[in-house]
Amino acid sequence: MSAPKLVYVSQIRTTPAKLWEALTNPDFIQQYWFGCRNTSTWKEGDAIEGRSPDGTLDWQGKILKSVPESEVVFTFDHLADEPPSRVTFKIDPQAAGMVQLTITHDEFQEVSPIRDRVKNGWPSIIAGIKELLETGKVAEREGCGKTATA
Amino acid sequence: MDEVFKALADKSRRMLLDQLHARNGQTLGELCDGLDMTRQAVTKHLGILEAAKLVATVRRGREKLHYLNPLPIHEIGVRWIGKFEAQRLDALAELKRNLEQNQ
Repeated sequence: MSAPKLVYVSQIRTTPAKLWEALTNPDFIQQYWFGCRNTSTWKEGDAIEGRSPDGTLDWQGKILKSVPESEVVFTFDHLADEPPSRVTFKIDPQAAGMVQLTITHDEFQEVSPIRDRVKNGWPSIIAGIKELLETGKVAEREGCGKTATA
Repeated sequence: MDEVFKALADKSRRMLLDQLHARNGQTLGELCDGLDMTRQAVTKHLGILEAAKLVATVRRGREKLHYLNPLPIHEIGVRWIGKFEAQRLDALAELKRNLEQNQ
């Protein structure tokens, strides 16, 4: 059996198009991802990389699936002594102007220090996405560093 | 947020969350095994937790797996815990844990 995965669900007052933009545009991403910028063409088969504010490569991966405004799946290699895991962003429109964002992080090793690290990072990232879309800004967060866990 | 507090204001439901915290992604059957509750009661409690978004479910074939969704609890924390308090509170919690363990 594969190791347990992480699943996060957030209801956000926004549109699928705006949520897609928030998830894929590095200018938005750095506001909620501990100051880091993730860049990619977001096309299947292309690379994705996350860089700290000082430009250091933080993690890298490959886009496995990409359906704009609906779903994106990529591998997540934290450049540690551990095989890459997998991240899925899913966008589901709900009633009354709400959109559900589901983030799944799986394919971890049975014993996975990376899972323990990203577990602390995701709630803050997702709360930041919600805040950004609903209020237009994100309260200041701790920068990339030992707390930059995802 | 009312829904989250109501869902948390029940010992059985907190136990279900504890179970998922210990091992994420369990089926209804697995959750029932670890608890002294009827299957019906567990189903009802899971429904309330799911409605409050404290539990997320993912289908795997015919099975439905339950995952702890920590976001609503995180939002409660963000609302009342200041940015610079978090680290000190972590340290205090750690101290309390250590002291209580050593008794």
